[in-house]
Amino acid sequence: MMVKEIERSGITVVHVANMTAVAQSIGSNRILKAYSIPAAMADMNETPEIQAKQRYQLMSRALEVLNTEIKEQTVFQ
Amino acid sequence: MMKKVIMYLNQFYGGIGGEDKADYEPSLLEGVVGPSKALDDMLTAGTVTYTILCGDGYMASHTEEALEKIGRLLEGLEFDILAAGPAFMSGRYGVSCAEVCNYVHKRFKIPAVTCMFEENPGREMYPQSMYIMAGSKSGAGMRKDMPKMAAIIDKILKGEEILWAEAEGYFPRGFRWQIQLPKEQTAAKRTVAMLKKKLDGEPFETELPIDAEEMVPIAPPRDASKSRVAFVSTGGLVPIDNPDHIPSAASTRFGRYDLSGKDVLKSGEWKSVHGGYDQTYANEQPMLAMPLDAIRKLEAEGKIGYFHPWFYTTTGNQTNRVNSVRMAKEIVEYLKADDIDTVIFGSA
Repeated sequence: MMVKEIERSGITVVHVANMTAVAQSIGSNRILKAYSIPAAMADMNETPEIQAKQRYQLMSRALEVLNTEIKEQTVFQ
Repeated sequence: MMKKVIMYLNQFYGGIGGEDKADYEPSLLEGVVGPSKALDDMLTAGTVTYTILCGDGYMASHTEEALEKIGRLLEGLEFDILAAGPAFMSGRYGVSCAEVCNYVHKRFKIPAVTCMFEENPGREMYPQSMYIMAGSKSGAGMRKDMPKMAAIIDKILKGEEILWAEAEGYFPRGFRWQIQLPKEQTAAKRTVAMLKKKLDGEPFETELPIDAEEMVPIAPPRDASKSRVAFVSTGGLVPIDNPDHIPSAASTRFGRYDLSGKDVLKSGEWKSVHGGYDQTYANEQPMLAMPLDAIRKLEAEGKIGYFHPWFYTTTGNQTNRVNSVRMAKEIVEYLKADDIDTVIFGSA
């Protein structure tokens, strides 16, 4: 719901969430699938080095999602 | 000894008059009238000593004055609980009941009980300040609603344990506590039972109902290298001493923390207070919740044009709609002041 309220103001938002179905049900438009609930930004079972790469890749992907034209709510992987 | 109940009614139920008397200013009646008589008759542990009367129009257009006047009328009186309504689907009456319950609860530190239909706008205003019994849509349901109010008021006055929302028939208040369910109905067992029903095509009831949402217009795509970007999160990550006391669930506030000069978030300096997941991983590596190192790298590479120096954070689990919307609006004010047009939002 916070995502929706921020987007209502005209700000473009990418919602990085593991529970993408919940993100859809509360009205987020650009949704990017995260790794897990307790560790959204990287795989908690990986080494610190790999996690750092995963964070960078996920945030790079988030920037791509922000720059993607969409016509309806969309879940990106 | 009988405990003392004071009840709030609008001009209509208080017998003052209809819409023509909606501007009626608050007054205090010794004894009972209409619904407060009905409540008094039903209570076994309490008696209604006074009835507050106020016009819905007056309360709506002079809320602060009306509440202060009610506060002055009650000053010096002895009472144990406030009852208000029931308000059915009447929006103004429901909002009035919620305002009065919230005010009296906070000023006099006593419990408050009201009752209204689920779609009444008064229902979501101050859910933690009162018990709102799930009530009927129209006044024809008075006979059903009043016993519900009487039952919970009696329980409160007798000091009996008040069970969770569904068990008692009030709307969820956003409080969280541990309970032992009968027959070891653990979440796992309930989930499997629900799944079996779903697979068999039988009706089942979700424990996490989510209302259908209205949509907002999709904001235009933005090239982050030419944008002003901020990071907002409901993942519950806060500085290690949690200076703003962000709660672990049903949050009412957010924290705003300065990232200037920081390239990483270190373990021991940050922790997760989110009550909805295992916090171990985020406590060991805060950047599993807020990937500042990746953001700084993208900023250095010119892929993020400008990164807002403040990080906004709260916990998303069981945070109600009213508080979510309010917090988001407050955050937007900060963002707009720095011309932010793009947000990366992290959640569970």
